[in-house]
Amino acid sequence: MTRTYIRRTGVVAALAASLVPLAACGGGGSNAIDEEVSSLTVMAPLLAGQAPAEDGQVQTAIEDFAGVELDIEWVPGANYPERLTTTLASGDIPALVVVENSKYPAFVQAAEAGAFWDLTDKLDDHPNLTPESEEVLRASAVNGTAYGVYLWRDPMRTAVTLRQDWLDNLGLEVPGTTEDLHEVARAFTEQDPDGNGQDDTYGLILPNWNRLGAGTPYDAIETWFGAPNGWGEVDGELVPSFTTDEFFEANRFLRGMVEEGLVNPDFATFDGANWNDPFTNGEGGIIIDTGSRAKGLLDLFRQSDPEDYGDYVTVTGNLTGPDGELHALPTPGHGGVLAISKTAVPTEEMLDRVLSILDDLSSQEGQTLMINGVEGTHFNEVDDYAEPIVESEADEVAQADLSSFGLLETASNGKLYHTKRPAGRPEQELVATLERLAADDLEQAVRNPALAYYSEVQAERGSQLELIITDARAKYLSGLISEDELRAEIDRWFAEGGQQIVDDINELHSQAS
Amino acid sequence: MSVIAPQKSTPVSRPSADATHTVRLRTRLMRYRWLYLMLLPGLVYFAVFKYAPMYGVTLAFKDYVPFLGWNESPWVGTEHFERLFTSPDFPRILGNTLFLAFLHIVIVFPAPIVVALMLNEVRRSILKRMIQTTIYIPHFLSWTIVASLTYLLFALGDGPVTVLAENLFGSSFAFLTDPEWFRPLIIFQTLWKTTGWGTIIYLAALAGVDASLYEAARIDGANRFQQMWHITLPAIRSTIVIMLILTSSNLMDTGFEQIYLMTNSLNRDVAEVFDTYVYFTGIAQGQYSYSTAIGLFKGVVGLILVFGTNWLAKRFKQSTLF
Repeated sequence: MTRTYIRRTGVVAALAASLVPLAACGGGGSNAIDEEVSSLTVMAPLLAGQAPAEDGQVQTAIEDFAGVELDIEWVPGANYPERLTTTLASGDIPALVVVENSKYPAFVQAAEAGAFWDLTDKLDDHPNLTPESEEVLRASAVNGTAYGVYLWRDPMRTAVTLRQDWLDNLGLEVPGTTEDLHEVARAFTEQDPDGNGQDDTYGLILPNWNRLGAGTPYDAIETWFGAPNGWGEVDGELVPSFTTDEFFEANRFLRGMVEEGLVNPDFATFDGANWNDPFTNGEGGIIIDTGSRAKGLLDLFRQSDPEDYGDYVTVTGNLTGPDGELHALPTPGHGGVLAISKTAVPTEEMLDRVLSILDDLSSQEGQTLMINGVEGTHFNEVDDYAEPIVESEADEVAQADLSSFGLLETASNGKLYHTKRPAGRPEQELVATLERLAADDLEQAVRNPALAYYSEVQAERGSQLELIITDARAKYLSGLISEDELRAEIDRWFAEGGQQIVDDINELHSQAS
Repeated sequence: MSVIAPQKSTPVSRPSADATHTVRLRTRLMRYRWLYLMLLPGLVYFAVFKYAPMYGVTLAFKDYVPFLGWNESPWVGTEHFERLFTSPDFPRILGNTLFLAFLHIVIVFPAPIVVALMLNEVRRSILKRMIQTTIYIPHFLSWTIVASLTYLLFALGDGPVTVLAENLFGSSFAFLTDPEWFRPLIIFQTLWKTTGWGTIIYLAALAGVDASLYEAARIDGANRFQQMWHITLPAIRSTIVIMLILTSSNLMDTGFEQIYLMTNSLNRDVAEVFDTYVYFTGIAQGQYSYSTAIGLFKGVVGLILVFGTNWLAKRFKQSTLF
């Protein structure tokens, strides 16, 4: 009985205690790099099933190019944040560490305590590390201090994916405005788009992926209606998006669609991991997500109908709001930072050497090598696209390795590599459409000014408080609470600590500007 | 049979008493050395894996920064506890946790006893064994599977149970999202998964009941129900009390996986308990000290409950743990 008791109560304590022996078994890594920097230890997340082999084609080519040996520890993506914490606690931090969320509290605390180099004034000394976008740099930094080189990501990914065959059956056009979206969703629900004579379809597929300012479909619709992306500036003050009239307007619109039955009724519980299923099964016809979703769906249709798979999927970008303007929802533009640790890179001289290695790897040649591979071996350049060469099993391994190394590429100086182009004609068209849409939408992107700030209150209380808003929004959309009750819940957010977050963010904002 | 040699009857002064004591201890250790040796692995196990990690609770009084490490992280006294007790979420979470614990004691705890008594009355042993095996099966399914099954069966619109209920009662049911249905679903899942397995210990206790007692009762004209009430139940009463004390220790553990999987935006008000709160605020956001403080609070409540139940059992002259 004593055993059961202690086990149950001591879970957290035991978890914490387990860090201690782990700390002891690292050993020796701090000498992983000598004065000339002939080798670098790296910690990176692994999203592919298999970690790249140390003596694989790709890693060898990158090492030869950079003139440094890489000792990479690939950590499965799902465990990465925990592993990062453990590594920080051990004090034996690899020279280069990928930090997916540059505002992760344990990372910020460690960086502020001197675990990582402050690169704010160093980046401009290296042409290929000079940030393409000052804004993305600020968003990836911690209140103005860059504790790493940011990892470039597509700045615009929002896309609406629709069933092309359903549109064709009903003689409809791809929607351009939110009103069009409503019309198409209604037609998909009521006019039997699959022509089977049964009332078994609906329009918009919404998942329970219900966050704020995280690129969710809810965020997209609110932004299209003119609400800020997360935070917006009103009369010189930063305010959360859910205090704006546009936020309510957007949710009234969406609630109307739910009431009409144009949305999957189980949206409050529908797991985003199964998001593709209703689309491919022919239950729902519209997904608001990213261009990658459209590519994934096209691939699923290719497997079920290798002949005409191109006829099922079409895509459009951000939709024009009721005010007649296009407000596009961008991504933060970065996927975290590549931080350089002070334990493994103790001196300024070594830091300069490491930075120049990263500088090489972010040149056009370096980017191409890390992401596309070696021309003629791993890809062929066609119309400025990279068409992968996959002829043997070894080629497949190389492509998988490239996708892993691609996550390590900083490219903060801008994208200089080739966009990957798959073989099929429909895929090529889709990729071209997505590129065009993204380029157009990017000009109308609504930025989130608060991304630059790390507020301690936000880190401590933010996500618990966010649940107040997201839960209330889900209840409002389901018709369980009225708009007044939604407003009351927003007041509760302010009362239970939200006001402190607003004050904190605004203080940081006024200090920065 | 006396193990120890008779004491010399000299007046005892302190040092010599100690000396005698040491001698006795040494003699005993020598005499039972193999038994003590066998005890050693168990002691080491507890010391290393159960007691040493308890040093970790000091985190609850520190502001733990992983990079600074254990010793360098500053002490903050009871700051984390103040934050917990003054948090606007606290009354709601405590209420939810205690309510589920109450339902657990009232509904889930007696269920295996009832089932065991019923099984005990089954005459044909082949039937009895078949039923036993069948009701053990859910124990081996993980909560993830149980939750997935529930989602399938109770889904809004096309779940079989939902369709059935709607046809029977003519109104629509949102089992998965309606806060009213959250606790019934949780208790139902727990019953389904744990009841069968829980009967094992009671069936074992029932097997030990002296058959001649029933015989005597039958001669006195007792019917089946009277036999159960006056013989079977008193016979397993001590088992029930011990099980109750054991259960009370982890009443605050409402089961993270089960609750987490069944929580959604619409029912969170009644669903959030300490286990999920620790996950969301502590682990997911790296606030280890705060999570430890909550864990410690739960531990203290668990300890009070164990001693409380034990004390109650003692008052009612029942067998107790200690």
